[in-house]
Amino acid sequence: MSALSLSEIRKRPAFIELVQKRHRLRVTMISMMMLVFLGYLISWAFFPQFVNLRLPADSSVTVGIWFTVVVVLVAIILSAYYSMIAGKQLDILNEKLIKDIRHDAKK
Amino acid sequence: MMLKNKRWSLIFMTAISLFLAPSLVWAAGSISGDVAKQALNIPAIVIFILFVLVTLVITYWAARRTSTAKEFYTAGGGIPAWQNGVAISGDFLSAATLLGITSSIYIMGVDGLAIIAGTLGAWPVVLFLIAERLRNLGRFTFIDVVSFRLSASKIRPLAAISSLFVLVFYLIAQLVGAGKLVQLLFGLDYLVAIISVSLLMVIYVAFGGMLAATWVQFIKSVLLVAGGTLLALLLLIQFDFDLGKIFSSAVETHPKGASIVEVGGWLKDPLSVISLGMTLLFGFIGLPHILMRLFTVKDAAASRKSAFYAISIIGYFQLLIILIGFGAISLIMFNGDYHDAAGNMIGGNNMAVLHVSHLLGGDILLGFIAAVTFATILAVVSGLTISAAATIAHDLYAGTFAKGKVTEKKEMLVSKIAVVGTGILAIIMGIVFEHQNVVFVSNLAMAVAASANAPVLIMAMFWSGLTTRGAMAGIILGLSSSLLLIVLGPQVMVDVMGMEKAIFPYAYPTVVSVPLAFLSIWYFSISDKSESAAKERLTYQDQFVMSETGIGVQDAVEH
Repeated sequence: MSALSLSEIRKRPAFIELVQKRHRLRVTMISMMMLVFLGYLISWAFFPQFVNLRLPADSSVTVGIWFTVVVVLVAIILSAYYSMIAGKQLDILNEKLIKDIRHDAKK
Repeated sequence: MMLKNKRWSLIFMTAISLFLAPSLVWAAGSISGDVAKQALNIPAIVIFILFVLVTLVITYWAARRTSTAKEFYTAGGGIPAWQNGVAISGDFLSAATLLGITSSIYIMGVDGLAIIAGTLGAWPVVLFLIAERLRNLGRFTFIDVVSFRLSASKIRPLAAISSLFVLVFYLIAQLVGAGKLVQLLFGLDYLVAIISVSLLMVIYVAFGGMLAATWVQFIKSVLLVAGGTLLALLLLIQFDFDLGKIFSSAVETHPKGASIVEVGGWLKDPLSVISLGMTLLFGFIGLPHILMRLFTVKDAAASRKSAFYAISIIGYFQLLIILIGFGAISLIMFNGDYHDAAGNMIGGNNMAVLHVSHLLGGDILLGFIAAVTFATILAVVSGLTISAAATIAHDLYAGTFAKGKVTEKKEMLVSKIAVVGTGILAIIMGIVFEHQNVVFVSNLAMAVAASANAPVLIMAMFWSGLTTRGAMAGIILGLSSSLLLIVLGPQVMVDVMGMEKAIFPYAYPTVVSVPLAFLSIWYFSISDKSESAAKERLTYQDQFVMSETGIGVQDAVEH
């Protein structure tokens, strides 16, 4: 694949659409994960009294334990969502783009 | 190791397994040193020998399908995504996870959970940012990606050195842990344990390459998750399936009382928490043996799926670890069967999960978990070895010294020599480090991965302004600062050298070394006014198209 054809691909509307959609999905997913993860680290580091609160109040289970479970579950759920959307939308866009490029290259 | 006749290789492997089998039984009576003597553990020995025999047959099968460099390093890219995902989770779920995190919770309580959250926080980042682009741009190692548009002759040797630092130190930590563990579990002599593990790891990798290493990792991972699930179920039965009861019993039993579920016991200040979080987040992005697994599938979509399967399995297992860690407190903390006269846990605090296994499932479950633990170490060191072989043969020999002018056959030969060399080095280092505290060795590996590998990999994939000069500065400063700060930190100055106070107060250097690496990459790149730097910046646009679509990558990476 020559540099010229790569620069041609870059200008294609289908490529721009793919990149924009993928970028949006990645930024959304990473922001959500970082929000939860950094929230966890910051509360652990700077708000230990909050992390040590009992939930329910009469139990020995603290917010910190629940928060850890939430981080694990959020990581799995976001990963599943990303994989699903990427598979259903982005992979199809990418395949179509490659097919069009190959078709045009044969002309 | 270069036996041409495959039949001879099978005979050789069988002989090795037969050599190991009696040595395991024989060694039960040869316990010495710091490790408490254990009774002959027949179930553990039987299960482990079965594991070894099955994996040797797989290695023989894999050897017949491994003849090219692509097959050797990445199993020809033909591993299904689900199987690769299970294998990736196996690479992560090492003995340190099973024994180490459980014992961290057992001793420190809720602070140990920060390790779990850090790990699960890091993995989605690998999925969202790294997995697809890495697969689209690389061929065998992450260094392929870093050197994609930069001067490979300058970048490859430096990145290879930092990669080897990570792999060798990780290998030492695993092997020393394995030696101690096997001494305790099987009653095997430390030296015999180290030699056995190294020998098996060399056989798996030298003959079967990545295909064998992946299957070994896959089987072990399935066994580990099954064992963990069974253990958690038996534990839940003890607590009438009442999760709250597990924590309230732990609070009632532990000498620290309610503080066992409160933060601050281990991570005493905010910067320690941030530092741990950064080490885990960037450390996993920079682990060469984990990244290498993303090349074993056919395309970027399969790479993404692999990462998702891995995250799900790791997450599930970590939830089990929370239950087992807290459950262990009330079940065994004051159980005389698992403590000596002085009140110390038999075999040390890392044995908590094994004692819980014995309590809940008797000798059979203990034997199963013990054998799986040993299999875990074997699988992880095999993954590390193939990654080290790829770095030495592909990045250093073929990519740097021979400047790409090398036949595939010769590169394969160098790979296999590198595997044998890694095995010999592992034995020597295992002996040298036998009486050392290896915690700092594994922390060193993670810190170097986070400081030297991760920043340059992220910037190579996402920043158009990166130049060779910037990447070199990032690797050199990331590597040297992380090494220096570990040496000046409490794990070496206080724990190893016995000094009262360390110059650098934090166990993990990443709070300084990671920002330093990113800053140096940025500064030395933007201040690079050379012609080659301008070309490298321009080439990013082509790299971007390739990384997003996978178009033209094969031509580029094989060039």
